[in-house]
Amino acid sequence: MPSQKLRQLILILRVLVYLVILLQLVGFASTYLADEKIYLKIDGEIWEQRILGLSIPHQIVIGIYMFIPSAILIGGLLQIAGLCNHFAAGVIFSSETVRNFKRFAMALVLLGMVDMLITPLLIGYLKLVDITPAWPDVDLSLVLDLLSLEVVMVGVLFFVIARIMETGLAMKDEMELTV
Amino acid sequence: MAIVVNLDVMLARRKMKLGELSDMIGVTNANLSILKNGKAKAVRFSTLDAICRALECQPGDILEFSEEE
Repeated sequence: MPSQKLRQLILILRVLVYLVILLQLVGFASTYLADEKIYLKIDGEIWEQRILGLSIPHQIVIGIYMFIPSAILIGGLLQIAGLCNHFAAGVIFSSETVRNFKRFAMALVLLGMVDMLITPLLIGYLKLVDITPAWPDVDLSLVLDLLSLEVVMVGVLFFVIARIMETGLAMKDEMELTV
Repeated sequence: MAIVVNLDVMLARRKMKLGELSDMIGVTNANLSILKNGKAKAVRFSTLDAICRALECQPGDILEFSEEE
């Protein structure tokens, strides 16, 4: 069984996981409930458009675009919730925990990449369906803002942790089969 | 693995059961079964020492290298 300290940490982690999932869902819903606007800078002027002012098919497409990062993050967080269950049951080194770490790492790498691509794709879509009158101005600070390399880096770090867990699992198996 | 464990052969020669050896050397029946069935990944020198003393044999009588395996 895990120690008292580990049990407390698992509890905090579990609460945080479900809180973040809830906040992601509330944040997404509030975008629509608060009737938020899309802002772009076109020819030096600020162009704005209410999301709810668009046709229903456009709202659905934009909604899907905006929900993709949240969905990936929630998928990753569910892996952490799974890890909490395993750790609480005293299972530290197992093929399931290794798989949870790998999937969480994959979710973070994917999230970083999607974060970088989602805004240009959304801008492309808005122009393609003639919602925006012209292509928005390309701003260097905006491009730098889009780079989510830190998320990708943490994802790669979790891949390393998954590999360490895999080594730990192999060592545990070897120890158990030492007579 | 190329290492073959001949513990069952040695036990048969001594007309001894696994449980008796387990009681003599203080290694669990389950662990001795793992060793006997060739599932073990490593053997401690202390275990080998105890088995050799109990069966009055050499480590080479218990462990054998076989290239075919």
